[in-house]
Amino acid sequence: MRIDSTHKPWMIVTLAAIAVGVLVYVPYAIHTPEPGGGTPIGLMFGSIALGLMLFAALLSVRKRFPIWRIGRTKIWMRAHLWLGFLALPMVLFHSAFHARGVLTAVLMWLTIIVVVSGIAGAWLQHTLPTKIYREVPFETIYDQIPVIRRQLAAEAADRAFDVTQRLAPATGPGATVVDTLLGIPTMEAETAEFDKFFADVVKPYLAEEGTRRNELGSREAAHEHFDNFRREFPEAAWEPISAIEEICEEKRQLDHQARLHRLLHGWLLVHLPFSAALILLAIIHAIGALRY
Amino acid sequence: MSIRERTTKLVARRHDLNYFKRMSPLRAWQWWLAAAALIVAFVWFSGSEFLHGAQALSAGPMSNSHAVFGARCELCHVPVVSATGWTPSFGMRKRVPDSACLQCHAAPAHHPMETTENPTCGSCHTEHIGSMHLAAVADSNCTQCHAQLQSRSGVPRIAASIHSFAGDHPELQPLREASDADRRAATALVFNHAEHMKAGLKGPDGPVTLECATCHTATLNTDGRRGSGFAPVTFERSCRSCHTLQFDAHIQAEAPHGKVEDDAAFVTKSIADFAATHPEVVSAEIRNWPPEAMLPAKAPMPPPHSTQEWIANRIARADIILWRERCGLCHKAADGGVAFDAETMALPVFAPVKQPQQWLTSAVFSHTAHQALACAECHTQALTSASEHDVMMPAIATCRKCHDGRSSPQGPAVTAGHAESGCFLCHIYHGPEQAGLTTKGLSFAQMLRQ
Repeated sequence: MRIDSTHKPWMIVTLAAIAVGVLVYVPYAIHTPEPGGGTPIGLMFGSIALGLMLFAALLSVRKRFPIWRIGRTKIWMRAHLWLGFLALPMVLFHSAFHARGVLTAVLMWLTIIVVVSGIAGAWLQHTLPTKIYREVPFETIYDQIPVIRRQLAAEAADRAFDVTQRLAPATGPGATVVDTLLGIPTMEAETAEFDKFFADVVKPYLAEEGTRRNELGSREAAHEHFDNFRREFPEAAWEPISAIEEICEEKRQLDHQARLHRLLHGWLLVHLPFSAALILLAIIHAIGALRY
Repeated sequence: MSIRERTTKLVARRHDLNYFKRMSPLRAWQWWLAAAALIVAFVWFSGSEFLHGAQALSAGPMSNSHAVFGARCELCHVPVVSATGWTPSFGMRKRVPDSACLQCHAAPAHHPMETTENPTCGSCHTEHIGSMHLAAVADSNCTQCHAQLQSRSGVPRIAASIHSFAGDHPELQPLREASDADRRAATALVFNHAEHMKAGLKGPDGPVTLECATCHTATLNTDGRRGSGFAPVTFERSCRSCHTLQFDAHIQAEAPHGKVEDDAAFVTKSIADFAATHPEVVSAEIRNWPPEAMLPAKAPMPPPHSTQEWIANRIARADIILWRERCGLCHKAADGGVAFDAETMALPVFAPVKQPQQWLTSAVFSHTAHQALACAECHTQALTSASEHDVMMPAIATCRKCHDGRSSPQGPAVTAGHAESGCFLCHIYHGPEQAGLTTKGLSFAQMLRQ
């Protein structure tokens, strides 16, 4: 989700709400000996904050039922972003910038963590998709990456066998007496070296995600390796060698995509649990505050 | 150029079409962690409630004095309407009514005949903000009325607009309201501070330099600790050692410092007793009259020829010495005239001595709290005052040197270099208390969480 000009009205409304909050809070704080959540204005801010938090939590419900005609998900997401952000200043005004009790201190920290993680997530959602599009031309569906990787490994094995075949026309299938008599070099040593390289380096690299320590994790190092083989081998073998190099490049990009994807969505591992705890404890706090 | 063929069809064929049936691991972790967070939050809160009562719901730490029953919320927070458990119901909200405070604290009303409204206890004494003195209320609690004071009687008896001590607090009452006549009538004693503070005064045992504490001694409380005020300066404790009331060269005993009539009787009896016990001295003086120089401004009496005449003569002399030179040194005549007329020899009528023990009638002041300072730092006239008419109470500007309003009584700690400022330091809001102890009658088990 990019934060573009469509967010402008939301930003204006949010900033206006904060400004109104400041205008209400400052005189109240100056003239009240002990401003706090239990005063009428404090309660007002608290009610607004809780309402904003509950609305923000409804986004997950909205996404669960996408066919419900209750507004487009895009609008809900924008509302979640800006009204969720607005909850933090409302909480600060409600608490008069202090949290002396155990539960209130926990709530304050949860609010800060949730809002900050949300802001971080919004920034990641704004920047990373473009980065992925730019840096991962071979982008695929994230959940398909293991499947694709296995296919790449199988294809690379075929290509490696193809290299061997192209280098041993006199001994492999279809070899003729003429070829043998012509003395086409078999390049046994080089082929063995290539096979060893494929078995020890390429295959493990393609087998697992990541493996950045593998030599092929670096595009330049991989190109140097494959270039060496291209220099050693005749032109007939260049196509499969280059294909293997391309396969490694695709695998490299999928690894990069996986990393960026985890970054793009991993912040939710903080945001969601803390939000859940925040909602529950905020409701308990509201009931407790009304009770006492 | 790509070596491998990549068409949309080929790329699409690579995909497992059932992937959407499984939740992504990342997504699964998000929901599992959210569920775990809910459980942890619930368990934490429930455990806290079980182990520590409603303390998790507390708005903040208790003040020092209330911390002992801080686990018993219900002692103060009484329900508006009875509600059981957590079932929401109208009036569920509990609050702290004034009656909860008054069960333990006697809090007489603040000027009940003058005030137009009375704030609740909790509006000034805010609990749950930590180890603060509840009595140390913020100035705004006072200035909410005193910034624009209104009185039931219409016209306030005091300044109608006071915002802060360091700002527009009027001059201290004794300095503000004392007229010249008031000052003259203040003590009815002639006293010169400057003379008494000189070095090397003639003392009973040689030269002496007096200090403030020589005469002005702190009061002691019933527990033997130093009080906040000063005991009245008495002649017996502070003056007699230098200013004797000896009235006759023959009689070592000094006249008591009491009523004029009693002193006169003491003089008469003492001289008569001396005459009775020392007839030889009487006879010798009668023969060699006068034994001493005549006193000035006294018409000479005829020489005595008998013991009775000797006694009368000595009494007359003693009266002059006592009333004019001893008592008259400090005491003023009630009518403002001469303290003792040697011509008429009538007993003097001295003006009653007024020694105010409390100069500030609407405020309290503790000398103990200020004992780090030298007396003359605040009482700047003490070393130079030559007149008993000087009211040596420090002006408010002296107080503001330290109490400059840059340290608030609540919230952050007192700022270094500035004394705590606040209305509560000097002024008591609640009226005079009745004697007796107000008690809620709790047991240990009721007060503590046991």
